[in-house]
Amino acid sequence: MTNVFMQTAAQLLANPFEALGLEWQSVVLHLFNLVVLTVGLYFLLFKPVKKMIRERQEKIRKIEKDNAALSEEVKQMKESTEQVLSDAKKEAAVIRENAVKEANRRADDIVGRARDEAKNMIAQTERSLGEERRGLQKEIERQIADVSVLVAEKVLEKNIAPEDNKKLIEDCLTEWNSHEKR
Amino acid sequence: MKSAEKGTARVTLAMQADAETQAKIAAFAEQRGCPNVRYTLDPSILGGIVIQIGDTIYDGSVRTRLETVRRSV
Repeated sequence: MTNVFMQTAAQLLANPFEALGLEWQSVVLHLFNLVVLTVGLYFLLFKPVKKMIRERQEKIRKIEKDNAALSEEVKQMKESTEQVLSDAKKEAAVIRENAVKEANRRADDIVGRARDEAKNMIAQTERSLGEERRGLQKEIERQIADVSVLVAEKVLEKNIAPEDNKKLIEDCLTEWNSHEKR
Repeated sequence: MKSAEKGTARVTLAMQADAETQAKIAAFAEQRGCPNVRYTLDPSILGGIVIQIGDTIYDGSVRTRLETVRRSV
């Protein structure tokens, strides 16, 4: 068997085409066909596919680039939104604080005014009461005077003595005389 | 004042005055140019005397004094 193998190897080395049952023209033709097929495939399939893949890659890169830019934009928008939100919160806090201060100030004003009005009303009421009291006092005094005079009239009407009346008349005459002499 | 009343003092009393008082009244009136005195009794003046000589009235009645007191109160 080794001899057969050695014999075949020797024939293959000496005349490979013949050993394999091939003709060199056929091999050359096949090689030519292979070259033609390769060139044809290169131009008809490999090149367009390569171009398409390159275009796809380019498109994907562009999409990735756009995506990155979009992501960056979204990130910036998010940051901007957060900033705006933060500013809005700060502004809202300031507005609320100012509103509370203003409300407190107004409340203080209202309370102050109410207190002043109450004081004025109390003072006014006290004045009115004082005036009313003085008026009543005067009225009472007047009525007492009227009653006293009435009582005195009634008493004098019945009880005045002629001697007293005479003295009264003489006192009057003396007084008028002395007045006119002055 | 009417001419008949000119020179007449109108004296109002609450009760009749005695002669001495009447003399003093007449002297008072005469000093003021009224030789005649006409008396009127009016118990409402309560006491004292009211003398009218011309347009002048001398009011020393008890009623007026009480009224003055009442007004002053």
